[in-house]
Amino acid sequence: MAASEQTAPDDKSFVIALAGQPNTGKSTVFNRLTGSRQHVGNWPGKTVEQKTGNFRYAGNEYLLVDLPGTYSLTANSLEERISRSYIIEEQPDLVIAMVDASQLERSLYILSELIMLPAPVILALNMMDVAKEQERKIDVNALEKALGIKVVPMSAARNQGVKELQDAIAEMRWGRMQYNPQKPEFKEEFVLLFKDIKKKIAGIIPSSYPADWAAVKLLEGDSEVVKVVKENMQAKEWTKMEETLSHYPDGVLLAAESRYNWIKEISEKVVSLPAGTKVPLRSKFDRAATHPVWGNFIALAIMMGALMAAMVIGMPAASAGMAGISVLSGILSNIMTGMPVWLTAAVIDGLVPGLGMALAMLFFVLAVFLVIAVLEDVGYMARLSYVTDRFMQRLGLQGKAFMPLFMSFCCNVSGVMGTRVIDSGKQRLIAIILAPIIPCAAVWGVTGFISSLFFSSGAVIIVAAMLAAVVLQLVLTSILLRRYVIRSESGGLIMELPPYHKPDWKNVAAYVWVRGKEFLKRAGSLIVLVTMAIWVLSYLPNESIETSYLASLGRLLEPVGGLMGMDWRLIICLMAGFVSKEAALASMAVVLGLGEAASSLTVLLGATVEHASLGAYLMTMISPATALAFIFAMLFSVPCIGTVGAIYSESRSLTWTLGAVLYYTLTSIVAGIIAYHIGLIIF
Amino acid sequence: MESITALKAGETGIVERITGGRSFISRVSAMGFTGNVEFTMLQNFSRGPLLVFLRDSQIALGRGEAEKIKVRRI
Repeated sequence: MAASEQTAPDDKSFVIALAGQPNTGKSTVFNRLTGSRQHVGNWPGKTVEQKTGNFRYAGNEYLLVDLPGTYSLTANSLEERISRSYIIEEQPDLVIAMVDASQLERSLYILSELIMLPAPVILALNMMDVAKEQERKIDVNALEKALGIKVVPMSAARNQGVKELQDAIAEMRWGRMQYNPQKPEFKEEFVLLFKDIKKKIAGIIPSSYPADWAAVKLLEGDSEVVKVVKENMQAKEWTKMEETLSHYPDGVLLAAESRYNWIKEISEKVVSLPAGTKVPLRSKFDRAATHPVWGNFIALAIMMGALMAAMVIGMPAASAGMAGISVLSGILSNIMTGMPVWLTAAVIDGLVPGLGMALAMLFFVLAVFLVIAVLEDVGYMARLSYVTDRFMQRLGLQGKAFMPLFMSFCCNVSGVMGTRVIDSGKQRLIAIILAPIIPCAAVWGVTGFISSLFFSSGAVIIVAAMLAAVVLQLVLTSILLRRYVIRSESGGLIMELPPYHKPDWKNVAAYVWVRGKEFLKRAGSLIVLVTMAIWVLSYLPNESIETSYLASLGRLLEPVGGLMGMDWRLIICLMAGFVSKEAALASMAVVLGLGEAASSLTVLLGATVEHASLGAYLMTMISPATALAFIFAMLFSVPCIGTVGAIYSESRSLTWTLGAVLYYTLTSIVAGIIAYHIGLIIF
Repeated sequence: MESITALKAGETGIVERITGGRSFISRVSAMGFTGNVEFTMLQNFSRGPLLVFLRDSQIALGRGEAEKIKVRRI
């Protein structure tokens, strides 16, 4: 297709798809180009994150669509199918292929697939600075000539080459650039085969499918293309086709080999390495970080440091946020004098505390995302999966599941969503179901508050017991799942350990900012709503908690609560934990706070003096044994609504979702009863 | 033919054959493992995953996966 046909009219936005393998600096380029004009959503009908952004260059508007980072474009994973069907079906005006200059041979692989698709491609040759450090010389002009497409050398993290990339995009837009892509060629024996296949599938495949591409995909046994051809072909013809293809059982391997040969031929022409360097020297740190013994210590130290950093950043920011909320309720109660009592109460006791909770969580979530972004950006995250693989195998999982489970300490929702790094479906399902066992930050907040209140110095022992219980439940549930429900051999570890990079702070900031916004939108609004709902339930019908709807519900469940030493109030708090863990603490303040004159939630989360007075009130209400039961029932409680939603959207199975809810309800009650009776013996 | 797991750190070899299902082969080939590719073993302790250098990249391979990659030493 000639570039001149790609010319778009002035008023229409030019659509660019950004493709590339993971760790090639795709997100850096995306952020450099679009700045704050980004939108995060989902791919239509899919659970995979879609990032789009706009930018203006030389007076024209451009729309940039970030495709999921994948190593190839097979039909093996959802991400790969999304990327390729976007290019084939949506037909963007241009595709930018991101490639890592310091790992040219492997990272060009995706270009060998992209170049077969209909959209014109520009190659963004990123990490030129790293290549230079390796004394790897790349002749960009020769590369351009060999590929027949525009090549833009870049060091995106240093903001080098971004302007040149924009220039190249504009040139393509206005058809001022040649586009004569040189496509990978197959051995002679295949040329005839492809010719034959192409003849047979002409008129059979959708018009959007390039014939060359479809022929190769048939050879590879690509499930999607095979399905389409099989459905549209006459049964007799398909049998013949199957017979032809059966002569090439290693079609996948043959196709991959041909692509790599094409890459090798090109790279031999354009890359020159200093003599004698074939394998780069590994740094002392990397040797230690991947060592079976030292690697664990490093992982532990880094994860602990990361968690502490998240706390150090998150906690003060959260209290600052809460202080702002106290000020806000003060101002509001002044403004609202003379208004109906119920309205004032709704705002001061329901809405403002809800906002406070959401804000407090936001800062904590931001801090945790910051840590994750940095670890990812410097390249350590992959090492973490690598060293934790053996330990995770004992849980019947792979190393890739470590990070999602660890992320669950922050928020189970992000943990469940993070399981997407796992490529085996069964493995992923196990990780999805296991993630809610990990107590999230909110659960630690609730249980930590109560254990420090009731057990002061003994709280350390309680925390240790909780951790032991969590590990025990992880192991038992995993065995249960693998033995009786999901029979699965381990999905296995195949992953790239990317080179280390200095963190790109702009990129880190964008990562944190975008996801923070997402959190506020989804979880934040939920928290506010729940706090409000609980306030309503506890306020109606008689403006008294003792006779409220919530109390009636709690009293209904009192027989079960009795086994755990809990009255209806604590049952309400546990039930609120189903809605959201934060709400358990919020509801506790509301439920108890209504008995006091002071405004409820701000009392709980605000100044320490009032905090203590609420604590004292709690201590007069419940026994240590009940407190212990509450802690463990909370620890094992049903995942919050957000997490249940995530489980459903990720597992796409109502059976699994309801099964998990039922299972965790039971474990919560059992844990509560056991803890209560142990508590009765001890105290 | 031996598995890639037989090689010690620092040893070099050439991939001869990859066994296993289509989706496994597809995954490893996207990471650079195909026939006739030269690689260097970077790390191979008696247990746990291996680290292999090939096509400009460091790739970690679980032991079970590595068993399916048959190689020849050079």
